[in-house]
Amino acid sequence: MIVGEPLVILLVEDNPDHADLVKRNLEDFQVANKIYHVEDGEAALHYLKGLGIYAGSVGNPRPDLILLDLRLPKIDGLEVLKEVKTDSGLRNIPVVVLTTSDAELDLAKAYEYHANSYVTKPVDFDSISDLLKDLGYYWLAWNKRPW
Amino acid sequence: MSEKERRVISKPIVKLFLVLVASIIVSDFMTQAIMLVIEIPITWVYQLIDIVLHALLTIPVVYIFAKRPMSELFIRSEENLQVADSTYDKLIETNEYLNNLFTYANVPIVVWDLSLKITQFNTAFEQLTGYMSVEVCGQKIDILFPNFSAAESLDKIRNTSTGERWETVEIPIQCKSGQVKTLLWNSANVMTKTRDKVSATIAQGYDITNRIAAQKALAQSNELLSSLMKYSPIYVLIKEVNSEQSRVLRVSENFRDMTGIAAADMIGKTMTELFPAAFAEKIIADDWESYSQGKNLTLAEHLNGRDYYTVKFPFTMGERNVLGGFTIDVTDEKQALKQLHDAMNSLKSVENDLREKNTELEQFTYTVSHDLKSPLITIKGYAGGLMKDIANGRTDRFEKDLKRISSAADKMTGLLEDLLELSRIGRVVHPPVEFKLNDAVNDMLALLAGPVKERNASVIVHDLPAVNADRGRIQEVLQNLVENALKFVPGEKDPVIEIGQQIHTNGEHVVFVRDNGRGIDSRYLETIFGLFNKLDTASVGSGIGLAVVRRIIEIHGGKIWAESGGIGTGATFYLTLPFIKQ
Repeated sequence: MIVGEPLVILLVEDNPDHADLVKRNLEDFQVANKIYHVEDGEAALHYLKGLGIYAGSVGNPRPDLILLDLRLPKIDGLEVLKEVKTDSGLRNIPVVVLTTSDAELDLAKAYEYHANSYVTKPVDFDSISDLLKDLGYYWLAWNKRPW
Repeated sequence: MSEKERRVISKPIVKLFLVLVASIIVSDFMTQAIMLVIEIPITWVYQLIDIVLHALLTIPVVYIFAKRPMSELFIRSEENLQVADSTYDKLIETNEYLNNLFTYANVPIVVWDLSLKITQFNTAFEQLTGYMSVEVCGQKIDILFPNFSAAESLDKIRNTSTGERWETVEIPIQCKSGQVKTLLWNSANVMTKTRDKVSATIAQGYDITNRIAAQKALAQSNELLSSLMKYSPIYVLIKEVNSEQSRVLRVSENFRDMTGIAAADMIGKTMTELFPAAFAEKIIADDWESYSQGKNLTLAEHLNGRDYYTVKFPFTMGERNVLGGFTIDVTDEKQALKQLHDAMNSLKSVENDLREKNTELEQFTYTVSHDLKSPLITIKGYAGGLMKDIANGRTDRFEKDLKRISSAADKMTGLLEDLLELSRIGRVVHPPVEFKLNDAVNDMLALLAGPVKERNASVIVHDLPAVNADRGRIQEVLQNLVENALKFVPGEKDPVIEIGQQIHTNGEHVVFVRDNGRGIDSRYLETIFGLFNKLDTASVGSGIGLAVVRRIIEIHGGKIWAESGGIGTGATFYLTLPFIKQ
């Protein structure tokens, strides 16, 4: 199982219900982690860059994984992805796009902007559970990170 | 004394002498005969008879000669000698002169006798025909004629023998080389001494071969020109021009189609006589410009609702200022081109419409794939969670999860209604009516009286233009904008909403709705019009409002955009519509 410090996940999700579902599933599978949730693209960038309400804050630890929804208020998810992947200080954080959209354009754009993974939210409770369990294990336990 | 002089003088004397000798012989003979018959022996009788007879015979002779004064014989011989001398010299001179004239005349001269044989043939004729005089003299004249016209020509020649004199007769001749040349002949007859018969004919020819060839060529090119003028589908007009007027010299027959006047009747007419005054004036000016500057002109002309393409070109014809012109009727082509252009434009607008619809459809697909799926995930997710909780006997979050499920279902219903509404805007268009925008604003404010009062808002309405549009939809737009303004003014502030118009320098009217609300970050000025896009997730509504507003404005051919100085400075929405300008 997971050893050491709990890993930090930044969840960018405008739908509070979905955010709750993600949190609940990750907790249920007892992956040692701490989830930070923001509701829009602007907040995500502020969190990552220490701007806005995060300026000088210690409430924004660097995440080990970003779960990013695409359709977000203010700044679109793809825009957030693009900024993260062009920022030398942020680009090595794995970004998993977690979205309801299975539009081909979104998929293509996400990889063009160097998303590390792209998964769509299944419309089925068991599948959501399995997906989040697998995601947690893969990115937080199996995947090796340079830090 | 020359031979000829001697002949002139000796003639009468010899005659007298011979007559005298003859009369003596005859009288001697007669005397002898009488002597024999009457046998007179006496000599004196014989002598007497001899004398009488001599006298009888010689007297009449002498008398005849004596009738012309005797002296004449001698005087004449003296004077006539001198006269004859100079006449003879003159004759020789004339003869020589004529000979030279004949021989070296520039014009070919030939002489034939009654048997139509050539007796003389001058140098010019030799040069013309290549025959030498010696070759043809003594030959019948038809040696000079080509076969095809020999008989006819001989008839003409024969007629000269009966005294006919040619003024000008065209007779072809064939040169030694075989080349046929046409000569224009005139002739004169040489009459016998009695002047009642022709003894020879002298004829001179004038070579008109080149002239005939030139005439033929001219006739041919004239014929060609006539054919061109007759059958040309292009309007051809040749004019004599000056700075004041242009006059028709030649014109193609199809001009009747343009002017209604037969081509033959157009010749000699001025432009002013043929065309409407203004048009004629322009033609005259163009003609003179082309002629005086010696340059071709290409022009687009319009007459009686038809379009023409014309090329004018100056050229010289003797002393005349001549201008040629070709004109093509391009009305049909132009019309076809315009139709093509229109068709392409409408195709383009169809293409744009199609693209718009496609974008709309993509937007719809996207919305369906994301916004409708989203509550579904919530519903299924929490339903699954609930079942798991039931299995595990966990009940603490039942109510909360069920509420989530219920509100997700409500959200879905709302979204479906919104989508239906949006699609209806594109499908149902009420016929446009003219109305004052102020009236629509007043109606709208009556509907919003409650919320306005509740927020203690003040709405300032300026004079607005009239518009030709779907009144219900426009009122919807205004209502949406005012509701938005009310929504985005922070609760602690009294909203101030201003509705007015700006008239730009290009004459375009722009209506605006301004508020003193929280304002919009410049980054989101465009995205706020997207379907289900919300700047604030916490705000009321699905985010369809401005998408609907934009859709309505665009269907009316107008534009809508937002401006804001940024957060805290309020926002202004501008829109254009088919306003009726006063």
